[in-house]
Amino acid sequence: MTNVVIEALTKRFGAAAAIDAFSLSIAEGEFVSLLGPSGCGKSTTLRLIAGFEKADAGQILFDGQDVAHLAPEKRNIGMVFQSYALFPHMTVAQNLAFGLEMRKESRTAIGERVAKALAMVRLDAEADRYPRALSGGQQQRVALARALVIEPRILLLDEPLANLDAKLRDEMREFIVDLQRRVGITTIYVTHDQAEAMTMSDRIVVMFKGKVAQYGAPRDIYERPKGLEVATFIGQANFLKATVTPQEGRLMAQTVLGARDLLNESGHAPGAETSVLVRPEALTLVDPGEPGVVPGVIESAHYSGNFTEYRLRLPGGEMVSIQVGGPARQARGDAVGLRLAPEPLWSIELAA
Amino acid sequence: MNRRALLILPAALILLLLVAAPYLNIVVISARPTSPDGAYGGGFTTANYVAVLTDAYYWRQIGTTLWLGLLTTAGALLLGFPVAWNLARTPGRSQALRQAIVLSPLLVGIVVRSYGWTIILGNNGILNRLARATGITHSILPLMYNRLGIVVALIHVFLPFMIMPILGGLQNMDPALEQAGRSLGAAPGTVFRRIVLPLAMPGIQSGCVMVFVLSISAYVTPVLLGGMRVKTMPMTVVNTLIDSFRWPLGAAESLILSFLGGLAVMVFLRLTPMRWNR
Repeated sequence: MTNVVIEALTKRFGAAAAIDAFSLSIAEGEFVSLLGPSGCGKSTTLRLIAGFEKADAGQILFDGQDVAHLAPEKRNIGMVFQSYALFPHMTVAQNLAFGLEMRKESRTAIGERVAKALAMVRLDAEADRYPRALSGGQQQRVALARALVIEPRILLLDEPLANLDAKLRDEMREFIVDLQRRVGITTIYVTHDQAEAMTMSDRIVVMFKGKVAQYGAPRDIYERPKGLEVATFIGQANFLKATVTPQEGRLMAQTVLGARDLLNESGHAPGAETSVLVRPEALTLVDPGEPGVVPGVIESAHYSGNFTEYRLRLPGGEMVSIQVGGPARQARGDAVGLRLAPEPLWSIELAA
Repeated sequence: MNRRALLILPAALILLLLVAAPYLNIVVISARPTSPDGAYGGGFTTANYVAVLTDAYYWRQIGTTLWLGLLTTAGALLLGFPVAWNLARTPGRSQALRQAIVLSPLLVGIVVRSYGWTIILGNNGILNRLARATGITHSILPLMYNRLGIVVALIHVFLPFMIMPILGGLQNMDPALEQAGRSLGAAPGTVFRRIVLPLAMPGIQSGCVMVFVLSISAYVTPVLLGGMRVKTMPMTVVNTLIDSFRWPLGAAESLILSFLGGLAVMVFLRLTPMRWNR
């Protein structure tokens, strides 16, 4: 088990910095996702860790040992590529044996470890087939087994699910997480799919333009995003105007939907104007006649099968989105009531 | 016949009329007796084949021809692979430009290019004069009128036919394969030997077969660079057909060369199998 520390890593392509003073610390056995839009530098970061790109500045430490100047083959990493990169001229077993042959393992040891790894990914029966005779999901599992059979210090995954269809993707997601937990290997996972990052990771690095925008547990990223960009990149976000009001020694956020505790009190003076993040699921659609609800008018309804998304206009003109399970029961122009969950609210400054 | 089959009809007709039919004719002629009254006489005989196959003079020439073909193929492979590699690693537009440069010699006729080599390699050519002027040697370096000169010129002439199929193969290769090899602990040399080379084999095979076949049937270049001091089978075939006007014997000579060349290609393909590629 290996911990990974990245310090002030910088990589320039020409004049532009693809990675700009990137720092990160990953604990032993942790599953960390690099999440961001395409071109944010997440893949470049992974390639720097793997050694396929040379950093212009900064350090990459595996257990305190700087590997930034080591060739990829000296870093003892396991990597799974988006295209799987299985050797087409080798059978499944030969693909797995390759890394062990490079480590000068004995023939019997190689045979045993390959068999064990194939059993681990439930591909024992496919040992002697060539990669192109396998389905996408099977190829994916071979790629995983090939990366893990060498018992690397860390596992790097570069958008490994991007080429699979939706159903298989969900299956593989679970499979990878389960495998990672069983092996207990420190894992860095690159993806642009927030659902993947949210469900799989211990911690997520949200990246924009070569920089770490936020590093934290999925829940932190979702509930306490640092800034507008992170808040809107992860999930759906409503923003409501709020006034900071003191109450019983605490600060509250007073919105059109009521007053709630303010999570991030520091930096807010009583009476200040701010805005708060309200996720769609914190809102409930109720009968407008119920006591204590805020009235709203449906502006649009979009049916998505398992839920319907409504846009509502609140008194004062603010708009919010809300997702309600099941088919659309309300139509444009309907008057409805809206209730906000009692949880504390997270303020975000909208002005950049 | 469906409509897609119709698409190959024009090419098939041309091949049938201009390749298959004449070839068949050559086979027939090779089995005819020589006649003083015309191109060949009536009836059939094996005499032409016997004459060639029992004559050590022919066997020496066949040996020379196949050996020159082998050397040319090996030389073109050694020179061509790095070029194909470089091209495959060059992005978009500059790759197109470099490909054009690789193919540009084909725009110049083979006669002109071979003459060009006589200017460079001749006894009074550029290289010899340079060698004398710089004092490297005072005698004449034998760069031409020998096998060396022929092979050098043949390599140059046929190099594009080696580069293009190898390039095609390398371009089809996922660049992540090499990275996967490195990540599994293989140094660049090992990655090349265990991953790149095997995957480039289909292209190498077609390149080698093409250059070999073209080399053993080459006429102009061996004549100009060998100065008739090195004898290859195509020269003898031309002599027999045009100078001695013995069509049946010439036909037998050329068919025996074709057969042996084909045999060499078969052996080469058997020695470099690619089970995974089938």
